[in-house]
Amino acid sequence: MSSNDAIAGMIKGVLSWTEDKIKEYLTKFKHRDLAFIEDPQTITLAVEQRKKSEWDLFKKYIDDYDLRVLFQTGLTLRVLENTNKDRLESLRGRILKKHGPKGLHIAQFVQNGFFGKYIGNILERASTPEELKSGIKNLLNNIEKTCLFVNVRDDVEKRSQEAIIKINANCPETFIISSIGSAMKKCEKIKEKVMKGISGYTIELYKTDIKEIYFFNRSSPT
Amino acid sequence: MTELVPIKDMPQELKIMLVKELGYDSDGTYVLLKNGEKHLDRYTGEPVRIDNMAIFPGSTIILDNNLLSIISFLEEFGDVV
Repeated sequence: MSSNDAIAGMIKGVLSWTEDKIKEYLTKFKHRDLAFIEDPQTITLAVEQRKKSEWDLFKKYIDDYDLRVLFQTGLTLRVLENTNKDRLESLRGRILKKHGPKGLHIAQFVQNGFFGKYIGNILERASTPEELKSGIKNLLNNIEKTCLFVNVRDDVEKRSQEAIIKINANCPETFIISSIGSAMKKCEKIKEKVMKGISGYTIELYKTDIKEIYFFNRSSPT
Repeated sequence: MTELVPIKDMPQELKIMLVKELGYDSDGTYVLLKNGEKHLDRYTGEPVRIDNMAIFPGSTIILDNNLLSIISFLEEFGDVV
């Protein structure tokens, strides 16, 4: 039985609402056996994300409440981008309002599947679980300093300089430059310029037909 | 496991009765506190509308039925449903 089926099985179908019925439900509610919800799809979608292997991995390393919420919103955005654009925009808006641009960037990082790629990248260098945990936390908590998301309308020169300044100012363990779809050509040009403007970093590329991620890994001590 | 009861089709007057039974009030649009102020969603700070509620047992938490609030609730209280 799928999780959908299991949850659907819990959900009452068409109900005839009467005061007596409400009182019956209230008794169950007071015994904590029941919850009322306008649209059960909302909770179904949220629960499904908590069963994913990415979440299972992430939660083992990260205790921070906000990061954990943002991670789950990122997984949810990924589902909505193919199924419901209105809900996607609504969720994006609420993330922005509650957690600011940084929070939205963290959620989008997860939405675009970059977390899994990052884990693949850092596993080669993190020798202990503590180092892995620290790496994940540092990356996400400093996402404005450690990631550059390239858009198709970006000015290559400006974004390259932005990345170079961030890397030279913060010397992050890992700096990520990423893009999706039609922005990939600009992303490659930016990567070339950045490589010429910094030192002490090696580069690793993950690329599919629709997205690419450059990991700049610090190779020399700061 | 907690049973989920969808209330999309519940008549508004019964929804108002429901929130009153739980110690809240309503002006017909929003869920209100006993002092008449709008009840705000615990996570987003938005006023909770009577036509878009999620009500969870325990400390009787009434949320706006949106994804950020539900995800935040599940993270705070665990997989209670």
